[in-house]
Amino acid sequence: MDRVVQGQGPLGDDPPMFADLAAHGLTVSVVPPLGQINLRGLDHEIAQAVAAACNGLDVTGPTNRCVAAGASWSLCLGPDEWLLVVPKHDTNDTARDLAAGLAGKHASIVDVSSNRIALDVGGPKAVSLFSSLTSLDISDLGPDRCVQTMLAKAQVIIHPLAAPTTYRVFLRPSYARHLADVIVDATRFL
Amino acid sequence: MTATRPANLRAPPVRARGGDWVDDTRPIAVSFDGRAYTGLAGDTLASALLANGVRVVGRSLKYHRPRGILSAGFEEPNALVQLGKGAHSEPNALATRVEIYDGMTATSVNRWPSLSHDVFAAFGLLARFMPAGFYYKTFLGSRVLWDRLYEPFLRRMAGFGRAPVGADPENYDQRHLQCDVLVVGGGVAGLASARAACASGARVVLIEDNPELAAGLAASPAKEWIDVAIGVVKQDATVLTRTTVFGAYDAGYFAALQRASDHLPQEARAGVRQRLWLIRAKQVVLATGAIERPLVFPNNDRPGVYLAGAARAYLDRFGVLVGRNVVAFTNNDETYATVIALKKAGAAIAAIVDVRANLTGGAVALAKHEGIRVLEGYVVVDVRGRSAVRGVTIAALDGGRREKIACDALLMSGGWSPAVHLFSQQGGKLIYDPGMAAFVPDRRPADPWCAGALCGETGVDAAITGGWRAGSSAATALGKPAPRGLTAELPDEPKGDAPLAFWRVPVAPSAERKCFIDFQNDSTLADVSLAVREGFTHPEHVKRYTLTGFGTDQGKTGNINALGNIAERTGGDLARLAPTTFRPPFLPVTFGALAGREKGALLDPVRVTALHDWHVAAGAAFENVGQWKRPWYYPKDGETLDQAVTRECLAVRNNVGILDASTLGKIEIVGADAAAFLNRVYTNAWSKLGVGRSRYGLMCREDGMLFDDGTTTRLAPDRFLMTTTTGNAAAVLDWLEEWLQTEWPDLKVYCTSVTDHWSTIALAGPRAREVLQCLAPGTALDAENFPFMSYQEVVVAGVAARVFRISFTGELSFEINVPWHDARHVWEAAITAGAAFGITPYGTEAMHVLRAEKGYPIIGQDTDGTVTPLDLGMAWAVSTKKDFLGKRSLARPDTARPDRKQFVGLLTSDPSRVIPEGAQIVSESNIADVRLPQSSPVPMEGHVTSSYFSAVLGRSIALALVRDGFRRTGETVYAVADGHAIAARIGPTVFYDPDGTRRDG
Repeated sequence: MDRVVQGQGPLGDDPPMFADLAAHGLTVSVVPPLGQINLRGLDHEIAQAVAAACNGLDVTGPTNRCVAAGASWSLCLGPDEWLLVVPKHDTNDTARDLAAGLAGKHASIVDVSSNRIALDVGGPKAVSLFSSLTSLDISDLGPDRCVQTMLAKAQVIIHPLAAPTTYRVFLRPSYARHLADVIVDATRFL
Repeated sequence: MTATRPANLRAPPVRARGGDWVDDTRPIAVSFDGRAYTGLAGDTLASALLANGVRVVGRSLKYHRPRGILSAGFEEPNALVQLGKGAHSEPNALATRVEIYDGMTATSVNRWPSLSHDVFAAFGLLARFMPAGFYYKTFLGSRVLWDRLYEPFLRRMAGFGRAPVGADPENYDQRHLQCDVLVVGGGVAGLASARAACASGARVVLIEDNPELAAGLAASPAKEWIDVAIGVVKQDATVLTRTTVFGAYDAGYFAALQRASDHLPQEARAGVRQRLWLIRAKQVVLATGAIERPLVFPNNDRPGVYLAGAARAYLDRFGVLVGRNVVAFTNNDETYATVIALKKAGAAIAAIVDVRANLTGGAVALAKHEGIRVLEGYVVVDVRGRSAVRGVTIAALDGGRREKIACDALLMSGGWSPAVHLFSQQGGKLIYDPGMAAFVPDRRPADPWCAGALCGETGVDAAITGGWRAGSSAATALGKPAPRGLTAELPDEPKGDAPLAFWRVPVAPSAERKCFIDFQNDSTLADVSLAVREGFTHPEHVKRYTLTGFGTDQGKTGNINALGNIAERTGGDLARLAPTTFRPPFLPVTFGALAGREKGALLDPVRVTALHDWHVAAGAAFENVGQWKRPWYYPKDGETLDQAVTRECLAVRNNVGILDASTLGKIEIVGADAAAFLNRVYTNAWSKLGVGRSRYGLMCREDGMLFDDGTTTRLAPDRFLMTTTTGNAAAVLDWLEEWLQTEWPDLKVYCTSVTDHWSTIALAGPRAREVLQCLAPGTALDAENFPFMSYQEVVVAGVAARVFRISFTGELSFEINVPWHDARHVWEAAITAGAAFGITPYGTEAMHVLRAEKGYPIIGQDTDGTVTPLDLGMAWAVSTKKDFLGKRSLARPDTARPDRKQFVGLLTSDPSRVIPEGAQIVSESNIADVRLPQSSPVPMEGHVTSSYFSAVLGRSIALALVRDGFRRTGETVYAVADGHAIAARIGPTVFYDPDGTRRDG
């Protein structure tokens, strides 16, 4: 049951409000829809099955560890929680393969593709932007780590996809316009 | 810029030469109290005024005595000015810190009508009738007099500036900063610390309050070392100047205020005015320096009496001589170097009056060598000159000779109090050092590192050595290598005489009223003496009785003098007294900086649904529900709220309405024990709910009171979708996680929030099925194939959707859940398909009316945390067979009481009267006692929780919580509000279609 329509995010595809930021050393762009799966379970019980179902994706290791496998990522959000980020068109297949692989195990697979949108934030002022919005120090992070924090009271996951040039920010679509306004406001003073 | 220029001594005090901080090629025009003055770029307002010969800058708080500039920094108690105009105005700015810019306007405060003629100066004559505690003793007895006379008068008399009335138009920013080593204070010790920490590879932040590092040390013998250090540190560390660390908190957390553009004219402030830095440091070095103390003697507050170090600062930084004929009064050696510097700049030195005798050190010898008259064992016993010092009277301490000496400035120094504020805020203990006559940090292993004058390392050599040691220790504590390369070859400093603890000049009791300890609060030696006589011997008590240490300066100059005098008066040991508590902020902080960008539209997130833009285009009026914006109603052609709601309600009852219900909280609950888990958190039973079926559930806190409600659906044997109320989504998820993680870790259940993933579109009304059929042709939607309280996966308008037959209106209803990105498409398809059936978007107001017609409560509106499921009449949803959260509490005597306030319907006698929500319920037997409009106290039987005009019923309806309500069906009560008593009859909560005949269409 694939969608027959092109989806619409809270900021559109190319919001004009971000166009002027480049002059201030910041680039912000809306990431085209991603497949996102919330995975819960105990890693020693599910790691093998997940790897088998998801092209070798590794869900062991500490919280906030990020691991890539092909075009997919696993972001460890807690001791028993991961956000799997996969190509949009692979979402249903991945969920189905995971369900099959984890059958009989205590695990949870929930499609959350629309629960968060993603912004890519980059440019020489990206670190300054985050330092004005969150108390977490992200300057030393690489792509193997994400952080979970609040930006202007909106919960986000920040994944330094190619630090320091691109930080991928996952956030709830209902907060997206608020955070976009805050980013534009903060950029005035970076 | 330190070259000595020909002294210009036209009018004291004057600009004697160039200063380190000023640019004498750039004159700056400022206005003070309406008069124009010219300063130099780099001047503070205080230095500019001094250079222009201005002596009186304010009036004191209580006695309205003329006051001048005392200090050159943040410790200033007197020189408070109102800065700027209108919304930009800033009260209580310190002239000693404000950097001037062209067009600056400042006015003095606490005087009327003018600084030179202040009618309230007469209070000075009444001083003997206004001792410490005068307020507490005088304004007793009459509440009326206090409200009408005393308080308004005292408020008018209270000093300080005026807060601006308009909204602050300035921009404020906030930044977070993390570092290995935070160095507070950019003097020599701080510089050395930062340099050492940088050298070991640490991430260093150095913060300095002044505009420049190593302020006022251009003439130091270590200038070369300082210049190199500044260069290195600026390259290797993050250096913030014009920045004050005002608070030290737990775990290395510090707050600092940066005056980013306060020194620029209004029109040049392109960016932020001030920036709040929130700093997390692994190690901290405090090099906060020391604050000079005044000496306590009669009329020590006259304009023209300066702290000796301030006179040196005005000369070195700004080239300003505070007097041309100077007397100095001191208990320590530092004053001597200051006096010699003033002499070299062209001032005449009338005398140095030193409380110490038999001085043998190098400082005194040097002064004598310069031909300066040094009077050992002498004190100043009076200062002449009301608005400017004209001379002093000195006397031998042993009671012998007295002498009058003419002068135009008196420098005083009672020694130095280390600025222990941040150290103390972090829990550091203080210890009295008799050698320094000061309280210093009593350093223990877990305390911050200290360096420089803060811990008695006075002199450049000691400061560099101590600073380097502290910076090095901080870095090595983090596992960094010890830094190498401290090379500072400095000339030996001459051996000096130790300072002498000296808390007051002995004078007659009558003269103690003129011996000021806290200049800002006009607290005198007489006040402290009186407080001790009356039994207030603890420093915290004396502080509150005499006000010593209150005010914007928080007693930076006066507190330790007060302590010394308490010790003397009580005959106690100063070492056994503790200074009063040091609390943040170290200096006043602008509210704007604390708020940052959390103001106006950005104060709190505004959450919107996927359909928000459609609602806006449709002209919806919105209401705030939690952080969400929800369509309230959709006025057409100038409709009022009532007209629109009537139209929307009738559309749902007669045809079909469409509602954006996306804001409902949604939680997917997965696991083998999911049903068992729901059994524990909901009051009703879930084990037997079939796959594909939905059920309404109530949730209680442990106290048995309703917490949330919603419909939960079994998607698969081990998978449920729970819905929550809009405002409670996060709280419910927290609640579920709390129980799963702390009490029931054995349950195999995982919860995932999917609130934003799913948008919810509700179709409600007798024609809802026809509309959905157009969007999902081929799907059997009849009541048999798609029964009430069931769920199916349906392709709706081409989108894979979860469709629920749930109703919050009593009408045939389908709730369509689709992912956020598809919601707009499906909604518009429904609007298009529904046009033929009269589809009408309805908002939250119509939703409320429709649900009230059916008697459906809203948790949080009809309940308030004191209502149980049984109070709502929902015993049918409370299982007696299983255990659940709150069950035990429902059996408590008060919770099980039969006459609790219970949920009932109310129908007014006059069907057109709509009772105001919140109206109190009064029983008929008591209504005669209610004298409207001013009601007398009669028993309140309850209150109205929901009240509307029902279009479909053609009359008003109301829901209420009424004492013993279930048994009072048929009774007439009165709802009292807004000066009216409205008669209404108690009845069932379901007003419309009580048999539920409409739910299948």
